[in-house]
Amino acid sequence: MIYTPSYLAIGVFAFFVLIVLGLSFYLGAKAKSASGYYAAHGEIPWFVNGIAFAGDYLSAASFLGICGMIAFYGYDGFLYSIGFLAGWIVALFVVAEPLKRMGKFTFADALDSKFHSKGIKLSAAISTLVVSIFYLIPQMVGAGALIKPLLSLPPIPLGFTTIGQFEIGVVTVGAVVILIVVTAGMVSTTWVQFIKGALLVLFCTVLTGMILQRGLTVERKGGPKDVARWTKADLELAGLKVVPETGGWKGKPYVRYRNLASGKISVWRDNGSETGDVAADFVNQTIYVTIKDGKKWINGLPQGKEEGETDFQPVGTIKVLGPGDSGEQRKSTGPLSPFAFFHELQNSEIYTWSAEKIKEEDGSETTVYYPKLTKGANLLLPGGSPTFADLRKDSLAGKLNFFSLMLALFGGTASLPHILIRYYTVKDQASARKSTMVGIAAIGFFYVLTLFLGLGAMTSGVLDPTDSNMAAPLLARSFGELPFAVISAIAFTTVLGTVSGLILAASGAVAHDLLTSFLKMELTDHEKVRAGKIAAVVVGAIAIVLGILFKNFNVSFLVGWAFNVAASANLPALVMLLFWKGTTKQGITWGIFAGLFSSLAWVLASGEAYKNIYGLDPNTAVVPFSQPAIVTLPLGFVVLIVASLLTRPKPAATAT
Amino acid sequence: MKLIPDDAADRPTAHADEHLDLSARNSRTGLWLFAVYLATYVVFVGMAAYTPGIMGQPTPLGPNVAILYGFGLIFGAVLLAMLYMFLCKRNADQFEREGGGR
Repeated sequence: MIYTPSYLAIGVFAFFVLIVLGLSFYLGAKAKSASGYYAAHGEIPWFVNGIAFAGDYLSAASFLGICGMIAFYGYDGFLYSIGFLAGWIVALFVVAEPLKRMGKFTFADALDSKFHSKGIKLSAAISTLVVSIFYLIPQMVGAGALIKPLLSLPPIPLGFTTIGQFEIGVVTVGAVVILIVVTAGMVSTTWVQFIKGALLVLFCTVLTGMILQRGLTVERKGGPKDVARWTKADLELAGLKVVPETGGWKGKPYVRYRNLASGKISVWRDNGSETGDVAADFVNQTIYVTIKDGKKWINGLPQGKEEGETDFQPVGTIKVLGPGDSGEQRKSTGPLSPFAFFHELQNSEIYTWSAEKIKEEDGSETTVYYPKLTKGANLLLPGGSPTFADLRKDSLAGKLNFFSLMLALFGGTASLPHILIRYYTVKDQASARKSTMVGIAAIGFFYVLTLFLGLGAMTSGVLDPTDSNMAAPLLARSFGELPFAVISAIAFTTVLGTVSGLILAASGAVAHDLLTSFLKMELTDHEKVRAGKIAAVVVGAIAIVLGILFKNFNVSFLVGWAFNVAASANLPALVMLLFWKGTTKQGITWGIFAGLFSSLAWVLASGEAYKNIYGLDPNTAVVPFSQPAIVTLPLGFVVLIVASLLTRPKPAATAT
Repeated sequence: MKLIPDDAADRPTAHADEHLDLSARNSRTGLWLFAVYLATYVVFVGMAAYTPGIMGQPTPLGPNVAILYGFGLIFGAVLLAMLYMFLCKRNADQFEREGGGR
């Protein structure tokens, strides 16, 4: 979809960034020691730390990815919300307080507090780096995707390459974040996250109120000819002639028609009588997109805003609302209470949009975006998205994939290094506990809102069928330019908050764990801070490059993988150190390496990687499902236990 | 509110740890609450996979079982966190009455 630039949004975003940078420079003058740079002197008030937890944790994946997934597939996106929040229970009840007691600056400090082992420091530092970089990629991709509707800048030619809007977004976020982290480390990062967390929860609450006040209506338009639904016989009467099936169109549920007068081809999908209310020969018009000679063609016309060009129309509408109290058919519901909103949706029929790629005979590829009339009751159940579709079938691999993701989300939160370091910014265990409670309340409340935002976007006729990540900002646009500007700017700040936390965690792993603890470099306090800042610049630059390289990846999915890797590598070490006296330093080191490398290898050998990275048939993948945690998390535990048993210190000989 | 105290730059990271016995009591309390939440979460995941019919049942409140259970897990986490704060406070008071580990 081509977006018109919003100067208001640019202005609001620039205002946010200036405040954040001003705060960073102000605080930078006061945070010059290592304890200030890495842990904000342990003096952040617990309430501020709690909201900063929300700012740190609610990443682009939470806000953009989950809302988009709910807007396109219903309840399945909310499964991520539930799993992401449940993970905080592990953090609060199992990990937070001991970690606070044992550590100083980083997660490796806590793991190594008992053993003083170089192996533990190395493995924990590598794990922190890998997980943080894995998690950084989707954040940077989110930043690039967001810049599109904010600035509609023309690409900048640079001799050997062209810098597009996406790249400008990634570089802008990367540069601002590096500046935030380098100026004042954890102090400024905390306050950026506090501001962002508070703004995100506040404005999403306002937006939810606006959705409920507007209610649901069938009068919002979206899609080609407002989702034209014709019988094949009527189409032929209107002067359209069927085009014979060729290439990848063979055997697919599409009928291509040529308009005898204009010669234009339209593609229709045979959706049959899936909701049981219409005869089987009905077809829906689709949007088909072909890339030819580097140019995008939509429904046979070049994409653009000029004469003779066309663009995507926004989609996502309600076709039929359930009957009113006295059984009458209604066009709109009027304002709704939160529970009535779900009740009305359950009784409605909604057009949702999916995509399918077709290989043409000449080798080019066409993507068809098609509407599907779905009963609301089916959208408010698990199993509606391609990710979890196997849940509704009798497929063991599908169910294992689902269990594995829910396990990764549950165990992953308490294993994320950028979350764990936030426990060192408060003064004691009681503050760690209280700030986690505030974090859980803010994050939980936000996740409840995601369901309203996602379903609101699904039914508001505003979705870009090509980009699910834009659902929340586009929903805001349906209420006017100001809500859109504020929500887009907050989404951008969302990326800033999370990315600065991740870069700080990675810089701590390099400067504190690797240089000082593992390589035993003698650094003064001042040099430690300088090493951390240099590491932050390098990690930030790597994040910018990776963000550009992984441009086409699905944001939520990548975050799910990061949780799998974090849980598999770090959770066994954390849990066993706390609860099993027989744990040895070799056990922890090998447990971390086993979990880390097995989960990475599984991810790279999965069907999703085959499809998205290598362009191969996912059915030929080496592993049976994509989410590794259900295998690699127990493997981490087993390796840790076996290695610990094999390296048990021999009991000292007793005098006889 | 001051963002950070003026003299904070030269201070070491503050550590005011609880007594180990009190930490152990709180840890036991936390593990009990964790077990309660874990059981509720496992039942939810199992129902999502094996009983879609029950998850789709409408309830008298309006939303179906899947939505209410999901909200229950989220608000339940907040309630358990608050209960934990309360129980830790009670543990601390009791610990103090018993002589505070002296």
